[in-house]
Amino acid sequence: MAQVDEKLISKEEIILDVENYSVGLKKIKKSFVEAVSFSVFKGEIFGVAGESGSGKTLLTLSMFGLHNASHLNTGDVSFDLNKIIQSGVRVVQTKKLALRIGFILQDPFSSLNPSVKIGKQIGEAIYLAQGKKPKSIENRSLVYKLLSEVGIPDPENSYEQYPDQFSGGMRQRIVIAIALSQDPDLLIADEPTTALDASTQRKIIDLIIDRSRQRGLTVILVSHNIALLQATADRIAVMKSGKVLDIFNPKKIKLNELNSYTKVLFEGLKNVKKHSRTEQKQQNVSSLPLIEMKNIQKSFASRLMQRGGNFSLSNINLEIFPGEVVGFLGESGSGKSTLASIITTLSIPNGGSYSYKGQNVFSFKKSEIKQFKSDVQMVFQDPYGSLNPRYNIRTAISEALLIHQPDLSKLSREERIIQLLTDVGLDGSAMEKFPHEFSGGQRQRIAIARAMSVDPEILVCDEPLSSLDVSTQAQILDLFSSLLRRKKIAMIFITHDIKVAQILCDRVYILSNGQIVEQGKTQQVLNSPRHDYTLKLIEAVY
Amino acid sequence: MHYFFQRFVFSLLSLFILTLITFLLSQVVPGDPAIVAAGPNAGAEKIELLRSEMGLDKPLTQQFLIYVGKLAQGDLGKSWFTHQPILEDLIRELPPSLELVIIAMVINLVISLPLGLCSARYNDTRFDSLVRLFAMIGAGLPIFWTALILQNVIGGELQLLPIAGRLSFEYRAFEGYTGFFLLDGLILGRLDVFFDALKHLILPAFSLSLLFTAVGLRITRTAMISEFQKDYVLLARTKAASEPRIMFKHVFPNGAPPSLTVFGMQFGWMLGATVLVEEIYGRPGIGRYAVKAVTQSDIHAVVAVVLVVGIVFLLANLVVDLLLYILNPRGRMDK
Repeated sequence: MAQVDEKLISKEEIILDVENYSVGLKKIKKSFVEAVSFSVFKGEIFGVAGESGSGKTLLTLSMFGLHNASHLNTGDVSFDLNKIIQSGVRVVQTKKLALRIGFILQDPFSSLNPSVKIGKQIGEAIYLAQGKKPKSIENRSLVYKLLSEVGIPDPENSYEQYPDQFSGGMRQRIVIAIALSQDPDLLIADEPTTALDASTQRKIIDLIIDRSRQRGLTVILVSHNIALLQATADRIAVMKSGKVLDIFNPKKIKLNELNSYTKVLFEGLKNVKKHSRTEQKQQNVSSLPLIEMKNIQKSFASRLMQRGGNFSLSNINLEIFPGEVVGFLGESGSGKSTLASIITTLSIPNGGSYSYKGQNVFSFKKSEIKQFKSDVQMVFQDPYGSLNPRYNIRTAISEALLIHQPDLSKLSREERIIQLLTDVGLDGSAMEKFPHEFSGGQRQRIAIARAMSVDPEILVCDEPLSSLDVSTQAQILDLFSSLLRRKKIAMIFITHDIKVAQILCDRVYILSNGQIVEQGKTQQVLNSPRHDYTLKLIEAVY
Repeated sequence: MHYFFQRFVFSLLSLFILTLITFLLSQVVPGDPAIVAAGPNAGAEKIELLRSEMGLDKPLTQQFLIYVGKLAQGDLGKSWFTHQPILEDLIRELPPSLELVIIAMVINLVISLPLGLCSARYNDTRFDSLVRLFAMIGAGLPIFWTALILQNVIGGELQLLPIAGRLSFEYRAFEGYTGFFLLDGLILGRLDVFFDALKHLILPAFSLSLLFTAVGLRITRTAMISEFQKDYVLLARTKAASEPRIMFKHVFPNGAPPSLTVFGMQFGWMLGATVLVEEIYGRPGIGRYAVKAVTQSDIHAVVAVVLVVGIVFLLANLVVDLLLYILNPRGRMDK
């Protein structure tokens, strides 16, 4: 632990000193962040790591009075040697601190005022800090300077534009410009890249780090992405359930000195067994493709649908053989999910052919459609939304069984459900419970059990890990691997995470702008990418 | 420009459908218009003559074209009862009602927008509970009941404001150009008339607006609350922006559109509800005219009122939509 180092540092070098700080929510007075103590040194990049719900955001925002629903309970906080919170009471108001703190929030789509020109939004910050009238030439030229500093092209024209004319990454740059415009002492970045694409993420983090180092700014960087913090932060505090478990320097890290939870976070996906089924793959070569798509086109008539990305597809050719695991890799907006919805026939393409086991899907008879729908099952991204909150688990799983295997007796259906739940690492007692009684990971297990209930030929998983925390991701990945080892099913795994694809997929298709730009064996594609876009995706990974 | 054109065409289409409906309305009414028009003692020949004069023997589509053609010339037909052209009646009756509705709308806007914004800002405080209580009571009181109570207490017992009519007795001979007494008072430089007319408007306008204000308040509050939760408010706070600045410069322009849409529709609804206060406060107006027409089975007059109220409704919505378009820079950009 870095405690030894802390003692060597004099008081003047500490910009933020937090002692025994507890904070809860207004409606429930109970503390969600409990007895937290740490110091942030001037000029350092201080990472705060932890899963969603661990209290990272509540901690960082409430200290400066920026969390609307927070309720201070105990503790002292000093900012630059001045007490701002004394024994759980705020003694310095937010407005007095605001100019000295810069904020970068998670969602660049809502953190800019949609109806004000971006130049004016930066100009307002300059006006409030330095009193230069927003319409003055001085103010304007400062805005231009900031815009080019954060890498917005053509500052003069960009000044006149509105937030929704910029991509997420560009908007986050504008937010950074606003934060820097007031020359703060402390920059708080709360999950600044979580809402952005992988390839943009790295650029934004690099920009924040680069600008802060240059200006000698202190940064508190809050993130659930431990690899990102490891690469950028000077010290990292790990939070779980409102407590700080560890504070350490990631460059001098000794894993055995750390809390066991921190270790899990760090190891993350490293320990997941790589899935491989070489024997089966040899059989596949001789067999017919399960799914074959030729020249699939999909375009959307409505312009609204295309906002925030071009979801249309063109010239999609692909084959999926029985028992293989195929990854669709790409950023959001690349058309991955559209492709998945065509495979499951949730949407119909404008052109091209699609055959399943050699038969044209679009000319299926009613009974064939039913068989197809039971053969192709889907696991969704959001385990909260994909389970009906009013159905208990028994009802949720037996619903699919009742439709696709109506002859099953009640008793054998019951046995089947218990078997399925055990398969996904739960037990029979889960049957009587409702979705809200489970954690996100457990719900995803239930969603998988439901999909597996009808013995599908192919499982389509649309980002099944991305709404889960790192430690849970590893468990679910393990579950997928073991399912694949035990059952002979094919799987389409849609993900933006190259690491996940490496662990799970036999082959990958790389999608960009609705087209397949590269395909092949996972290792081959990722080790020697031939397309620029693939390279970009790989480079973006921390 | 494209949007303006589109919106205009849409309004024309709505207008066409409105005229079609009013036309069909006059068709489904039982009784033969020719017999009624000819009077009780007319012979069969005279009725036939009238029938062909009125175009009633022609096919329905042709009758509709004639109807639309007459409408275009401002001919709304004659009242069966007074035998006066209905257009003249409406020109006389519409201004007092519009005047009432406009003042009621002003009261509505002045109360519900700022109060909605403030109660959203101080959401879940005692102030907010109080505002919500007011809104609940306002939404629950029937218009005629509010009108009676206000008339009785403020006009009658406290004698603070006049209880009936458009103007005091001494101005009974006043005549203006437009029929809108407030406007006429200003045009003619007769400030005494202006204030007298205004005094007579306060109670009816307030009674008319209370229900609508309560609804507008709730809608504004809800829209603003969701704006206050957005991150740009947080970002403005970290810029050290003052609370009034956040409320009026940041939140208000973004939260106002849903309320404006509702206010546009309320304008039309208010015009339809004027009868309730016009009867009680003894004011002339389209509401009372409509009720009289209905009780006298004066079908042409009823249809004309439906048409006029419909047109006002369309116009109010057109204005609001254009206003929203102008206020929303994103919309301007989309073209």
